[in-house]
Amino acid sequence: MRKLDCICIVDDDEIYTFLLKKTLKKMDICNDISIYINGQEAIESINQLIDSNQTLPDIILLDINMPLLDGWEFLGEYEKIKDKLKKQIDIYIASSSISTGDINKAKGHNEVVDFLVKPINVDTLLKISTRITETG
Amino acid sequence: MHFDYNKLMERLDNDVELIDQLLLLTKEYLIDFIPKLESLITENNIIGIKSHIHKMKGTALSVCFDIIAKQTAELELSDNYTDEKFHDLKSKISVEAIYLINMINEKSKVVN
Repeated sequence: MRKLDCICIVDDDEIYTFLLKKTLKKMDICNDISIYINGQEAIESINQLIDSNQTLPDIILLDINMPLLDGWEFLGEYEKIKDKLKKQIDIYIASSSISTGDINKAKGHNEVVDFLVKPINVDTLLKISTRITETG
Repeated sequence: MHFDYNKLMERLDNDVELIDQLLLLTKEYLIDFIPKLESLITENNIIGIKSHIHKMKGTALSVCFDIIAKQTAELELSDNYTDEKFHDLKSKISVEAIYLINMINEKSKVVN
């Protein structure tokens, strides 16, 4: 299976990001892992990557509850720049929220592939990476 | 169960070193959790309280701290941060956090 270029984690939970980063490294399914602690940092970074023509992430694992710019606000900003993207980025909402409102909102959002309930296990990570490597 | 070690071991592919690192990181988070919650309550920062509790729930789920995950999930549903039920739950979470901190301390003593 070909490796992904990059998986991007947007989340302010440092224990979750620590664990996810270690798990992804061990799985060896991507060349790079980027972590941003809020939507603002993430959207700024994506803009910079576009401007400098650098490699964009294949997958974004996006939390909902974050300071500065939350997951929904990030998606709003992302929609504004998505026409400038030269590759398909699969965005997943990754949350410990069990609110049906959040789940339905995520599933109904054009930019969101699916809603993942934390903690995310190895099988799920394999599934979402395979979705790209098999179609890409 | 306070801490489902077997579930975490299974999830992390029996990586004992990673679990030890994770527990030490979580201990620091637990130490800061209650004082920060108290401070947010004093400030009547409703958004901050909700966000802080939600984050603790996510952390607890990540490390298989089942009781505190359940307690914070229950607390997250609360709409009144001044009533007796909220303070009762907060007290129970404090007790659980102290238990977990002590458990991690004991565990690290054994490891070292």
